[in-house]
Amino acid sequence: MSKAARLSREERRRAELEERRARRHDRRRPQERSILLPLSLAAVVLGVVAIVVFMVATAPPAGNGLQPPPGGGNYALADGQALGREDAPLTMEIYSDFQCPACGTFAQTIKPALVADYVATGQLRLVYRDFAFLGPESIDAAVGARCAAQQNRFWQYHDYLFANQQGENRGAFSQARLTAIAEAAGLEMDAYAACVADPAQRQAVLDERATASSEGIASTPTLVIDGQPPIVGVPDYADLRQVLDGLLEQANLSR
Amino acid sequence: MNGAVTAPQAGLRRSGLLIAGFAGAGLLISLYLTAVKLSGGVPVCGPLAGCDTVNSSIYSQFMGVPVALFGAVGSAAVLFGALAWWRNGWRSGLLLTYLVGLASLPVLAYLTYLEIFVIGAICAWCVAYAVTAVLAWLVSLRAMSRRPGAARQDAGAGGAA
Repeated sequence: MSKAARLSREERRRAELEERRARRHDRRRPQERSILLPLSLAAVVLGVVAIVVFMVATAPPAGNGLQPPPGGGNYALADGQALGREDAPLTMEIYSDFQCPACGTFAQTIKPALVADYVATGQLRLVYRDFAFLGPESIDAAVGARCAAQQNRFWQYHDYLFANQQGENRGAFSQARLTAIAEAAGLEMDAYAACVADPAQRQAVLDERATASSEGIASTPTLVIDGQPPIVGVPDYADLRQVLDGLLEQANLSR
Repeated sequence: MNGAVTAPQAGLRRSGLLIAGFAGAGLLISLYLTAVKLSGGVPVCGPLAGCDTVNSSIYSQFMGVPVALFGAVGSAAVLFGALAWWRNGWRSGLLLTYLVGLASLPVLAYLTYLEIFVIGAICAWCVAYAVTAVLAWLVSLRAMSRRPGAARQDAGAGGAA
């Protein structure tokens, strides 16, 4: 049998197969149609339910009810937006945004450990740098924190902000809630109100971000320790300790 | 003209390959964004800004899980269904791609709304993912609405012309 004839038979066989498949499809089509509409509706409902769950999980809290920060921080060594002795052998700059969830994780897990292990012992000075890039409420919160720094209560205000992150640009850091945070952080309110109304504070926040961007900072949190390559994201505390201990050893040797 | 008889069915099933291509691209994008999110890095955005902002946003994760990972699961399901349809003519695979795509449409619309109106930044990777998902769904919708042998007449007409 020639190759062409074989091919032709094969093609006929495939055509019959396709025809059977089409007929089967035709038989099943009413059945498929009857389940397609409910299945389609179920799929759309599933998508909408996913959105609702997501919205609820990220919704800002109603009213001004504030969550107090966990534990009291040791801020005896606070110095505006810095924390720690000025002559500490190491300085860590923390580029952060008050709406950034990873910054919240850093502030609530790594920072307290750093304060206890390095800042309180005079080995490390923390300096908070604004990288307010997540929208208008990031800038408003940063302005409020600068005003808290003027009364040397930056870190209390900082802790309240991170303890009350919820949603993003949806009112968690509205002016009303920032005022409530300022009161909770123990600020003198007339001075605070005058400070947040000063456009120079806002400009300072914007300028600090622009400077950081020009230095290559692109995300938060980013940690820079004495000009070393930046540590991007929330580091593992054991790894961070290793870096700090290594740098402290070098600093002690060079003294 | 027997060859023309089987070609249209193959053509219809080739839509599975097209869906798989879109889903594969979506899977790669979402896996990349997941890896970047988990490593705490910044997505490479080229001349476009916004990926860093969107990726650092509170909306980039849900209950501690990167949102991109949910996208990866969806794309993997579409890829599986599309390949099953293409390779074996498994119509349930096509139905799976259609339903997963349909369920993801409102979610993608909402996430795009968040980018534009809440976060105020556009992530090109996220937009590219949304485009692949919508295209995959449109192809699956078209394939769903056609009879397996329906294109035969088209081919016949094409051959006559």
